[in-house]
Amino acid sequence: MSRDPEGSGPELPDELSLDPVDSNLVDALDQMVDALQAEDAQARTVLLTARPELAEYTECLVRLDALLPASAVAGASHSDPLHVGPTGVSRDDGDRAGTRFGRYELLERIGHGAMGVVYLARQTDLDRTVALKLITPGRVGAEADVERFYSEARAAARLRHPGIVGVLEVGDVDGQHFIAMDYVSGGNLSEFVRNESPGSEGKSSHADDSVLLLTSPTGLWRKSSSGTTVEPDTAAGWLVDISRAVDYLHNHDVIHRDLKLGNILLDEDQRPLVTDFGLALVYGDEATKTSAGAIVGTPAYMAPEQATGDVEAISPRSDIFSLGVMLYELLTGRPPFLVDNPLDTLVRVIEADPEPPTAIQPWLSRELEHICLKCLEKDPDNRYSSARELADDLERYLRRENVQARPAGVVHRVRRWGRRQPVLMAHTVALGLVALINQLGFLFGGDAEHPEVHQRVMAILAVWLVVSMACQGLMKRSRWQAASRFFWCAADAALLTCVLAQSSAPPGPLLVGYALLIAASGLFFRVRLVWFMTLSCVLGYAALLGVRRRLHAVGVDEDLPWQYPVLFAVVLAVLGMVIAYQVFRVRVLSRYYRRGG
Amino acid sequence: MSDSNINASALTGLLDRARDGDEQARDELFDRCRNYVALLARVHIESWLQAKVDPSDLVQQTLLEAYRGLDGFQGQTEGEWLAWIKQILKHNATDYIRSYKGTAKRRIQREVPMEAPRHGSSLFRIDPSDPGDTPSQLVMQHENEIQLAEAVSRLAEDHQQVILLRNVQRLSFNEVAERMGRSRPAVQMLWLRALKKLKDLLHDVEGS
Repeated sequence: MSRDPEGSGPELPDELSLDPVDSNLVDALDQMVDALQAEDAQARTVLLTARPELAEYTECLVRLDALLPASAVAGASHSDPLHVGPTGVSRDDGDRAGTRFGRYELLERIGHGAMGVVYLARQTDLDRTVALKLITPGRVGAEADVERFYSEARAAARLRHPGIVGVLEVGDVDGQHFIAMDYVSGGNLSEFVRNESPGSEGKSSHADDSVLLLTSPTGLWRKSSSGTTVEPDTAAGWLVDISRAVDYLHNHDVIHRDLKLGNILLDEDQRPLVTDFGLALVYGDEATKTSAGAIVGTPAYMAPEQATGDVEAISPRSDIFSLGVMLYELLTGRPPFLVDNPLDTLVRVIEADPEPPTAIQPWLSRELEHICLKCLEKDPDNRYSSARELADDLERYLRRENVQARPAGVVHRVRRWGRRQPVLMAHTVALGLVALINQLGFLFGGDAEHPEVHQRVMAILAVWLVVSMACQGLMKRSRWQAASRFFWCAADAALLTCVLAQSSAPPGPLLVGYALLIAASGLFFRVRLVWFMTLSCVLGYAALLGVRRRLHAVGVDEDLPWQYPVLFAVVLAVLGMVIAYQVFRVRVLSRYYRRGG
Repeated sequence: MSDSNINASALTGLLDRARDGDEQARDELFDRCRNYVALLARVHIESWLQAKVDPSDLVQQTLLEAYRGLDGFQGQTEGEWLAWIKQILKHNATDYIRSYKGTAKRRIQREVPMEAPRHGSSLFRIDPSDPGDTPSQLVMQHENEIQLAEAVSRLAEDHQQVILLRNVQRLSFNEVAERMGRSRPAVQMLWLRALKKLKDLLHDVEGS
C-alpha cells in the first residue's frame, strides 16, 4: 500500500497512474469524504465496516471537514434563512440555480439543512418568490429520509399562523421530493446573538468589543465576552411572539422538539417566525413516533426528559423548556448548559441548574429572571403549563405588572444551589451526617471517646468543610479548575486519614471511607483523577498505619495477620482500576457519540 | 484524558497568563495561532477568489488586531478565543477580498458579500460556542483546530493545496485537477500521499 519513497511528490508526472491497490483506497477515501460532506453517518458506518483500513484516516478526515463549514467556502455567498446545520452538501447535489424545477424556477441556492438543499425560487404560475427545499435523493437510508421529510411537511402544511413560516406545497417532480415554503428574508436569531448585529459592517474596532454598543434596527445590542445580548424588552417581546406561535403549534398537536435560536427567522419587520418542523412529533403519527426513539434535537436546547431519550415523556412542556433556553441565551449571550462536549452538555441538562441570569448580567430584572428559570425547571410540572401562559407572563413583565412566576422557595433554592455545585453539596451532606452521628455517639455512647479526641475530630470535620468550600470557589475560575480538582482529591484523602488517626480504637469498618473517596472521584469523569485519588488513598492508608503505630503503639488491629493491610491496599488499587476503566469507557462512548453523530 | 485535552488546556492557560501581562505567554500564544490563522485565511481567500493568493498580509493584520485587542477580550476558553480570532479574520477577509476584487475591476456585486453578510453567518459559521448545531459538529469544532493547522502547515506545498481543495473547500477531483493543472489520477495520487503524511504528522504533533 505504501510505496512512497520520499513522501512528497511535487514533480509527480501527470501521466502516472495509480496502482490498483492505491486506486481502490483513494476511491474508498473519496466516498468517505463524500459521506462526511453529506453528513451521512450511515453511509460512513457502512464504509467503515466494509473497509476497516479507513479507520486510521477517519479522524483526520473528520477534523479537516470540521475546519470550515461548507457555507463558508466555495462561493456560498448567502447564508440560508432556513438554515439547519452548517456543514456540507455533497457535490453530487450540484448547484441547480438557474434551472427549472416543475413549476418553479430555481434562482439561487440559499442554504441546506439536515434534509436537503434550499433554493430561493420563483413559482412561475403564481409569480411569487418561495423558499424551495429539495430533499437529497438516492442516499443510503433515503427511504427513512423521505418519510421524515413528508412527516415534516404534513405537520407543517396544516398550519397557518403569522408567527410561523408557512408551508405552501409538498410534492415531487420526477422523483425529486420538495417542499415549498414562504421565503423569509431576514436572518435567524442565533446570528443576532453570536455575530455582531446585522447593522454593523466592516471593521468594527475589536479592541474594545467588550464595551461596544451598537444600534440596530431592533434596539440596543450589548457586546460582551459571552456574546451579544439583546435588550431585555426586545428579547421578551420576541419570546412573546414565539411563544404564541408555539402555543398555536401545540394546539394543533405538534411539538416542535427542536426550538432554538437558529430555528427562529426574522422577517423585514424584525418579527420572529418559527421554522423547521424537521423533528416535530405529531401525536398519533406512528411512523414518526417509532423512528424517533433516538435522542433527537440539539443538546444545549433540550429539555431533560428529551435529553434522556424518553420519547413518551416529551410533551409541549419540553418546548417550554427550549423557549426558556432561548430567553436565557438572548438575555445573557450564552446558552445555560453549554459545555465542551455533548456528553457533558447532556449531563448538565439532566442534572445541573444554570447560573441565574442575573449572576451573568446583574442589571437584568428579577422578574424576567423568574420567568426564565420557571421555564428551565427540571420537572415539567413546575414549568408553565402552556406556551400561552408563558406569553401572558412575559407580557405582564413588558407592561411592568407583577408576573406570575415567583421566586423559588427556600427549599427549592437550596436544591438549585446543590445542583449547581454537586460536589460541594455531597461533601456538606456527608460531613454533616458524619458529624451528627459522631456527636450522638459521643453523647450517648457510654464509655465513648476521650473528649479531647472528639473535639479534634469535630474540628477536622469543620476544616474539611471549609477546604471543600474553598475548592468549590477555585473550581469556578477556569484557570484553576483542573488543578483544584486534584487538590480537592488530595485534601479529601489527607483529611480522612487525619480523622481516622485520632482515635485509639481500631478504625475497622471506617476504612471503607477510602473506597468511598475513590468511587466518588469517578464522578468527575477523568481517568487521571481517579488514579490520583487511588494513589492518595493508598498513601493515606500507609500513613495512617505509620501514625497509629507511633501514636497509639498499635497498627490497624493488633491481632490481624500482617498481610491484611497489604490486601486492603491492593483492594483499593483494584477498585481504582475498576472505576478508572468505567470512566474510560464512558469517555469512549462519548467520543463515539460525537463522531458518529 | 487524551493528549489533545492537555494541550487544549495549555492554550487556555497561555491565554490566562497572556492576559495577566505575561509577555512571553503572549508571544507564545500568538505563535501557536499563526498557522491556524494562516490556514483559515488561505482557504478562505482562495475559495472566494478561485486563485492562489498569498494571504500573509491578512494573517499579519488579523494577528495584530487580536494582539492589540487582547485586553478587551474576556472569553475564558480556547473555543471562545478561536471564535474571536475567526471573527476578526472574517472582517479582515471581507475587506481583503473587496480590495482585491476592486483592483481587479468593479464587477463584484454577485460574487462577494460587500457588507457583513445580511443574514449573518455565511463566512465563519463555526463559532465553537455555537450551540445551534448537531451534536457531532458541536464537538468536532472543539477538536484541536490549532494542532490540525500545525500539521497541515508542515506538509509540502502541493500536499497542502490538494487537501485544502478537496477536503476543506470540498471540490470534486475534477475541479481539483483543473485548479492544480494536473490530471485527475495524478491529483488523486497526490491526495492519497498527502493524507498519509498528514495522518502521521497529526500523530506527531499531538504526541509532542
